[in-house]
Amino acid sequence: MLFNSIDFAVFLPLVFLLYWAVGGRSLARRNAIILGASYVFYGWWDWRFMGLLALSTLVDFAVGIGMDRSGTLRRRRWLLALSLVVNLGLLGFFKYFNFFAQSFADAFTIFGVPFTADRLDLVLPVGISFYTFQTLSYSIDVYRGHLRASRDAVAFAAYVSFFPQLVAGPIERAVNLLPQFASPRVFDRAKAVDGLRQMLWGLFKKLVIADNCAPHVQAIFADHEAWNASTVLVGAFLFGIQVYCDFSGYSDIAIGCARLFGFDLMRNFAFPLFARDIAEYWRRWNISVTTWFRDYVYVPLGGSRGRLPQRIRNTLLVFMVSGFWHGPNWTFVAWGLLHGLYFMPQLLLGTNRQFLDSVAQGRLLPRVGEVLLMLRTTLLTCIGHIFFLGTDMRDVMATLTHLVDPSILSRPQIDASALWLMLVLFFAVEWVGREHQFAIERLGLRWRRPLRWSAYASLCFVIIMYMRTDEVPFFYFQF
Amino acid sequence: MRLFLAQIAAFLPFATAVVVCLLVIWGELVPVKLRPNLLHPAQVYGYLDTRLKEADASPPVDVLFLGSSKAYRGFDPRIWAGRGFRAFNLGSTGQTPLQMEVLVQRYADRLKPRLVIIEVDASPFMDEGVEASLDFFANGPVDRPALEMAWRLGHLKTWNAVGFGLWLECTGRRNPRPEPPSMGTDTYVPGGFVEHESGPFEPPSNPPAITIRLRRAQVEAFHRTLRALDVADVPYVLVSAPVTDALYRSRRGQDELTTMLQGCGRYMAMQDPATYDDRTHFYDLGHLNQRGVERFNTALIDCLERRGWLPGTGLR
Repeated sequence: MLFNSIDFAVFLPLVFLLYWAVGGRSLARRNAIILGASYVFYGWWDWRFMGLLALSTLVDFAVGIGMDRSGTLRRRRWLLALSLVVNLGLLGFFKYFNFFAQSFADAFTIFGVPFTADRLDLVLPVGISFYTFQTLSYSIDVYRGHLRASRDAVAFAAYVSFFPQLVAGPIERAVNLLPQFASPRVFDRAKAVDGLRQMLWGLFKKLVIADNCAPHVQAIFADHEAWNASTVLVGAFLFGIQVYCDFSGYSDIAIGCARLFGFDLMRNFAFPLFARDIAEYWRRWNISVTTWFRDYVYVPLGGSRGRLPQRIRNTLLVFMVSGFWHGPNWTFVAWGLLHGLYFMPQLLLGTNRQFLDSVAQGRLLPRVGEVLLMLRTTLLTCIGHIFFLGTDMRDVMATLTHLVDPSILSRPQIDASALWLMLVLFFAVEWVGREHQFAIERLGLRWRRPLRWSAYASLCFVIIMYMRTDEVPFFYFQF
Repeated sequence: MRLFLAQIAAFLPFATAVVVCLLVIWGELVPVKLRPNLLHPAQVYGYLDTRLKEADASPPVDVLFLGSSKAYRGFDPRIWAGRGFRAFNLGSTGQTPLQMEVLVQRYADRLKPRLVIIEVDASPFMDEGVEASLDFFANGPVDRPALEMAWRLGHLKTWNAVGFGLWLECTGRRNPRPEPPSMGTDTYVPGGFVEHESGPFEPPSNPPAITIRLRRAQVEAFHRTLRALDVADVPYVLVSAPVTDALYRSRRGQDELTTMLQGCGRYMAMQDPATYDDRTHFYDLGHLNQRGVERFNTALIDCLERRGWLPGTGLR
């Protein structure tokens, strides 16, 4: 079920009323309602996917209890290994089987040994990359002793399948979300209103900005040679905005939706389009995944401890793994590596933590220097987007070569007046709200109610007037 | 919780009012390019405004034509008048069965046709019907049948067009001036026909292949329309007007449509490469030029006459 569908518009109020009215004060009943709703939400795509979700849940629930009961480290290690094998095995099979089979065959061919790999016609279960990481975080945290194993199967299953963030994050840590399923929830009007506001802004970003960027990006990158270089560069820029608005829009809707049910999810995006360097960009982009890789891959590798070569290796490795997480293609690995290389100068100079505050904090306008830094980061990420969009490395290289062309100085061939207008509105609102949790968090809070409501209604109107009228799935579902 | 629900209940009508106001402001002040979901193609193409106004004032007719542009550019009432039939063409741009249903509800009683000829090309059955609905709300009244059509379509653009159409209707500003009789290469001919002035046409050798997939909503609307004609005791004939051989050959899955149409009653497929030459009788892939129109109409009347499907000759 898509957030931007009529189905969800009916589903959400029904579950909301059921949860607060029928659920009463019984925690178990409320958790059961969340669990049931989450499986309906997930099964709406394909009921067969529910089995995988249930399997993942059962394994980690049992592993958690097993680890809690076990006195020996060796046994705990075996149980953790079981969780890793099952979860990563499912993810690897559904997402990476064909990639590895093909790469294996290619490797043989390089050495002159003809080898053909059979492809399996697999359907990638929606959100498997997200819930696998979420449930793994539980096993790892229990293993590390950061968390006691859950004894409440319903609460645990509801935590793994929690529908607002099930298919595209934010990937929640068990230490943050699981205790919320165990504590009583009281309806908080302010929190619910805040959640609705965040959902509204998320819908604007998804329906108006991301969905309207998509056809231009698609047209340009379907045949980049048909366009001049400046158009391809603008296409890469639009792709960056599309992915940001699509993914952060989803996160906003997820976080807002969770607030309606009394839950607090972690922040996933913190205005990365205004980042002044790559380190800041990665502190603000897809925070839940970035920190997951930091805590469960980078730190165990040694993190920033050790000698310089080791730190460089760890950094490049974690960027490449996070690239590979996006999909079974060498272009994603290269994209991760490229960002790792972008990061290197800052690692070597020790400047990776120079921008911890918001850009132009306390000021309305940025300084010229800040604008230049933001433009530099944008340009670097745009080049990265070409890797993200390429079908293979040959395609990526052809696009990059095309960019080094005199036509880079010509006028872009994109005719999208309404989109430009909406981008101006989007950037203005995001800029003004950049010091808050989401752009319209404080919009009109001090205004009189009719004016404030008019502002929200106007945003609804903008969505109605400028949204694409066909249902466009969220971009990150494919990962 | 109660306060929250009360606030939501208050916000919804408030927001609706604001949205409607902004819709009107946008429709009045903002250029078409900057309002993608509010399209109001009044008197832009297809002469629907002129056609409906003429139909409103028309006496009863012998033959009524329904269908898409292939109908209003294909059935020439002048040729039918020459054979003794008063005919009126109620075709419109992209008209799908959903719009056809509206026209039958509006005009079956008013025009009292003795025969309805429905042009049944594959395209309207494959189309959602949104573009044609915008044409209807920009150039026709917002009445009950039209609102039912909008409800069935359930499309945002259609509802925006309803809102803005209502505003123009309430303020008495819906198409106050008549359309010019000629627009570009099109000339309106009284009786609903549009004559196209055309030069030579070179059909593409390999038009892209199209697979015909019928939309359930359109098929259902089509059956409802036929039922309405049956109830009104108006006989009808389904006619597939000719298209270029190139286009016809590019279509896959024509059989499903043909089977459905044959099951609906009197059906005539006029596609005949021996009679119509792509270069000589068409001005684009799907539309006959005037030479083709004359040949097609004459052949159709002869054919209907032979089968005894024409109403009694003689103008009423």
